[in-house]
Amino acid sequence: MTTKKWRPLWSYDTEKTEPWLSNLSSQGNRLISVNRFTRMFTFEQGPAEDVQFQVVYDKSRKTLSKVIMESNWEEVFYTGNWRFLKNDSKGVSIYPSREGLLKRNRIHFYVLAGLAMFCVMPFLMMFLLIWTLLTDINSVEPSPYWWITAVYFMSVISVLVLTIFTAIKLKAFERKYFNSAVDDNEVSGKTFTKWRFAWMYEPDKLEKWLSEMAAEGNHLIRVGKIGTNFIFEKGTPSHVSFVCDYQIKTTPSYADIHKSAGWQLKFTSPYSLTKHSLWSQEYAEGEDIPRFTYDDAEQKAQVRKVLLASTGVIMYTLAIIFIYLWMGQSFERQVGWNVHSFIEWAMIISLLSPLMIMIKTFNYAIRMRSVN
Amino acid sequence: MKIEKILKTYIPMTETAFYILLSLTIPRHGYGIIKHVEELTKGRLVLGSGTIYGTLTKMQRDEIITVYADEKRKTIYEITDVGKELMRHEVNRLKELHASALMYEGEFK
Repeated sequence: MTTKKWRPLWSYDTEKTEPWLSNLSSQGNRLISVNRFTRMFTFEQGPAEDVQFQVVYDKSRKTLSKVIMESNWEEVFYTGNWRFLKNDSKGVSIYPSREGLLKRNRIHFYVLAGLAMFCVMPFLMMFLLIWTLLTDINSVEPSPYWWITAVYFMSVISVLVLTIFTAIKLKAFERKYFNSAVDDNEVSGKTFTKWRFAWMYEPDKLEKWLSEMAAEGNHLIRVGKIGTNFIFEKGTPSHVSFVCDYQIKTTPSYADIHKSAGWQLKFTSPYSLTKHSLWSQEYAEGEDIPRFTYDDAEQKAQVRKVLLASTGVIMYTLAIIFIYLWMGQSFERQVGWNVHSFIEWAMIISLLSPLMIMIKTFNYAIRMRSVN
Repeated sequence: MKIEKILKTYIPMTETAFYILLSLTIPRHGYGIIKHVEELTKGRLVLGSGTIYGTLTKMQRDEIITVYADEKRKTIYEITDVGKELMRHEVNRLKELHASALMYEGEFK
């Protein structure tokens, strides 16, 4: 006798799916197959088994590695890039990597987030339009195509909900299996806050400032969510090395590998793409200052990466500002529709921010030239 | 990636890449690699975690190494058959280098 169970979002929530499968197995439901498209799990009645499950996503589709097989992992079912493994040993000490799964869910999240951005603007516009129409109820005529509007609304809402859901699950997954959480220090006394803006464009200055603060006995406890407020606690002076790192793209093992080498994660931007993060490590008097790399070529490559990212930000902001200014001008000339001069001034003033970033970036490039 | 292409990109190997693969004769954590390389070279070669991260990421992409996790969810790196073949080629090259060095060593005195 077979039973079917529907679990539509199982692949974004393997943390719950795996214990669910183990639980069913202990009740005598043996997993036979999973349909990737209908999201349907099929089970067969059999003897109860006390096993743990792991869902593996592996694009290379290679056979299980020797170490994994020697650790008693057994394939129950596979479909596409997915493998469902079970293990009936008690003290399992070797697990298949979850990197493939994390990478896959990250891609899904980025696609969904992109789609959500793409949907939200037209959605809001339409919402406003319908709102104005509905408040003037007499002007509304019943349309035979209302269902199209309804379907559209439903799909936009479901994309938004799914994006938020995957974002939350992804973060929890990374924290649990890839040690990606920020290291918080216990606060024992009074703290004080200092503000720093746009430090991503001059990472060397922030590193120096924080090291000097530590040498004066001001220890960084944590950094605010958006990375502008630095919270310190007064203590004894010590030697602390800070590294402000930038990565265009990070792999799942990024945080863990630095943490295992003794670094504390003090701040990280939320996503795996264009990642800014701040790290600290204490060292003893006379010891070499800990760095991420001691290799000249790698250090230069890192500087180039930061310069490239800053240039990207500058170009992007400038492009947006100029498009708005140009649109305002052409509206004025062609339609005689006057954009409020306040808005125009605001746009011109907002040119200051890319200008400031440009100066910071330029100075950073000069400083790095003389260092290396 | 085909083995010929891997040999072409990785040989001659950088010192970092060579010592990382050399320390993977047994599976190790990222930090285990740093420590082992430091011991092997008696402190001459200190690898930063950024160096290790960059090299391991590339090697994993090219399937020279593979990963799994231990019970504490720490990533463990292991050399693959492709990686072993790469090392055999590199060791042969180094042997030749070494033999040549010994042969002509005296000329530079």
